[in-house]
Amino acid sequence: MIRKLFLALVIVPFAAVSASSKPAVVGSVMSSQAATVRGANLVAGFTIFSGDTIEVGPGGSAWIALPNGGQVQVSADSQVRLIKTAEAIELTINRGHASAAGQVSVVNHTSPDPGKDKGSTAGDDHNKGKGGDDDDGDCEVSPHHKKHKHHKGYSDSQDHCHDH
Amino acid sequence: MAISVRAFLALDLAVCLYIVVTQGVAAGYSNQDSPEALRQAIHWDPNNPAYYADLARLAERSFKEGNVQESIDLYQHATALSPHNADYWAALGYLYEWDGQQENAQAALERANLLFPGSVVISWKMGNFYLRQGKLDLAIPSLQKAMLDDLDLARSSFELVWQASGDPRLIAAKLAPEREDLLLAYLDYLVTTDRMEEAAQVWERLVEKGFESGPRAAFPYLDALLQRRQIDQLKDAWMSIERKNPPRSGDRVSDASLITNGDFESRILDGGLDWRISPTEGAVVSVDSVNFFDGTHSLRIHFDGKHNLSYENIFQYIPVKSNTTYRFSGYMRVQDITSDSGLRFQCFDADEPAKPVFESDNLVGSSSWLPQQAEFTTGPATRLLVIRVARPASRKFDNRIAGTAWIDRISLSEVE
Repeated sequence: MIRKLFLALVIVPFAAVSASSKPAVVGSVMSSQAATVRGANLVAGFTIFSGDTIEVGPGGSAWIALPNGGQVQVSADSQVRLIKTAEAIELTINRGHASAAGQVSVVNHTSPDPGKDKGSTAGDDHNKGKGGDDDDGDCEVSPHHKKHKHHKGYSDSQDHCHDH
Repeated sequence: MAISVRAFLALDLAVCLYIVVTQGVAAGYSNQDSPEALRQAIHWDPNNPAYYADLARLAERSFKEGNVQESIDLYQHATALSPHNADYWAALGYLYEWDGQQENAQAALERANLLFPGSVVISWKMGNFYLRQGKLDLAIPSLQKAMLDDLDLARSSFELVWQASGDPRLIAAKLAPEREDLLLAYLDYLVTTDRMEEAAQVWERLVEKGFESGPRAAFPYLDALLQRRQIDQLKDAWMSIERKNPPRSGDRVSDASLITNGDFESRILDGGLDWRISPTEGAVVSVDSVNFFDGTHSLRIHFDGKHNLSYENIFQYIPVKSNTTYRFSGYMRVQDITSDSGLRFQCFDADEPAKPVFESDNLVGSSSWLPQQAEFTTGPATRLLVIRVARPASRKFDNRIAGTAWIDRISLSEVE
C-alpha cells in the first residue's frame, strides 16, 4: 500500500493536459445518470463541445440533444466521442452502445464481428417501423472503421456499422 | 321559488359531479404514464397543464424524428394553461433551442428565470444556454449563481467556461467569486486538469484572503506540487499554511529542524509536509501521552504479532537543498519487539526510494529511549527527502512481529 502511495506521489508523472483552443458546441445534455465528460459529472443542461468524450458507467445513461432535433443516447458501460465536422456530427463509439438520430455520422469501434459488416444496412429490423433511414447503401467501409451517415434518420449503432 | 332553487342546486351538483368524474377519469389515465393514456387524460381534462407537460416529456424521449415540434406544441399548451410555471417555460425554452429557434428559446428561458429566480436548475440551464450562444458575459453570472447554491456544479462550471473561453483570467476574475470554498473548488479543478500555473495564482489569492479552511483543504494542491517536484512552491505553500496555523511551541525540536511536528505535540495532519500514516492490518499507530521522551507526547506503534509485516507506513516529506550536509536525530524506544527484524529510521531521496541515504539501528526486544543519529550529504539532484519508520519483512521462520515501539524528538538540520 505504501509503495502504491509512493508511486502515486513520487514516481508516476502526471499526464500533461494541453490547453485547448475554443471548440465548437455540439449539443447539450437532456438527462444523464452516472456519466462524466472531462472529469465533470454530466447533468441536465451541460454543454457538450466538439471532441468531448462521454463516459457512462454501469447502470448509467446519457441523452444528448443535438442541433435541429438530433439526438444521441448512450447506454450504460459505454464511451463515445462527439466531433462536429463540416457536414454533420460524428459519433465515435469507443466502447459499449449508443444510438443516434438526426445529422449524425456513426463510427463504431466496438464490434469484434467483421462478418456483420458486409451485410449490415441501415434498414435492419431495429430501424424499421421507426420512420428511420432505410436507404441502405450509405454505410462506408474503411480499413479501420466503417461509417454510416444518417440524414434526418434513425440509427442504432450496434445494428449498422461495425469495426473490422 | 323553492323549485327553482332546487333545480339550480341539482344543476350545480351535476356540474360538480361531471367535473369530479372527468378529472378522476383523467387522473386514472395519467397514472398509466403512456402516450395514449396521457392523450386520453387530456381528452377528459383538457385544462390540466400537467398532462400536456407529461406527454411532452414522453414524446421528446421517444426516439423518433419530429417529436421536438410535438413536444413544443404540448409545452406551449402547458404554459398557456399555467403561465407562472417556471419549469414549463424552462422545458419549452430547451425544446426551442433543440429545434433551432434560438430567440424563442432565450425568451422562454428568461421568462422561467424571471418566474423562479432562485432556481439552481434554471440558472444552470440559462448559463449553459448563453454559453452555447457564445454569450459568455451573460453565461458567467448564471453559472456563478448556480454554483453558489450548489457547490457540486462548480467543477462543471469551471470546465465549461474554460472550454468556451480558454481564458483563466476571465474565470478567476468573473466566475470564481471571493468565496473560499469556491476558490478551493477552482484550485482543485486546476490541479486535476494539470494547470499548475493558474493553480499557483489561485493559491496566492487564497492566501491573501486569509485561507481559513485549514491545512487539509490544501493537501490536493500540495500533493500536486509534490508530484511535479515544484519544491520551492511546495515549501512556500506549506509556510503559508504554518503561518496561518502556527505549530505548537516545541513542534520543531529546534528552530533549525526541517521536520514538522517532530515531537508529536500537535495533531498529525496526515498530509502536506506533516507526518503521513498509512493504516495497515497488524499495526496500530497512536499518539502516546504517557510514554514520551520529550514534551508530553510521542508516537506509538503497536504490532499484534500476527503478521510478518513489511512496514513503511509512517513517513514525512522534507524539502532539502542539493549537495548539502544534514544531521538527523531521533529517539526510539522498543518493548517486546519480536523477530530478527525490528524498527529503524530510514531516510532516502524521494526519487530514489530503493537507496536509503541512511538507516538507523535495527531495534528489537526491549530498550529504553535510544538516540539514533546520522549525518549525510544530499546528492546533486536531491531536493526532496523522505524520512520514515520502517520494518523490513523478516526472512526467518519465526518472522511475525509483535511488541511496541515509540518514537520522539525527531529532527533534521542542515550542518553549518
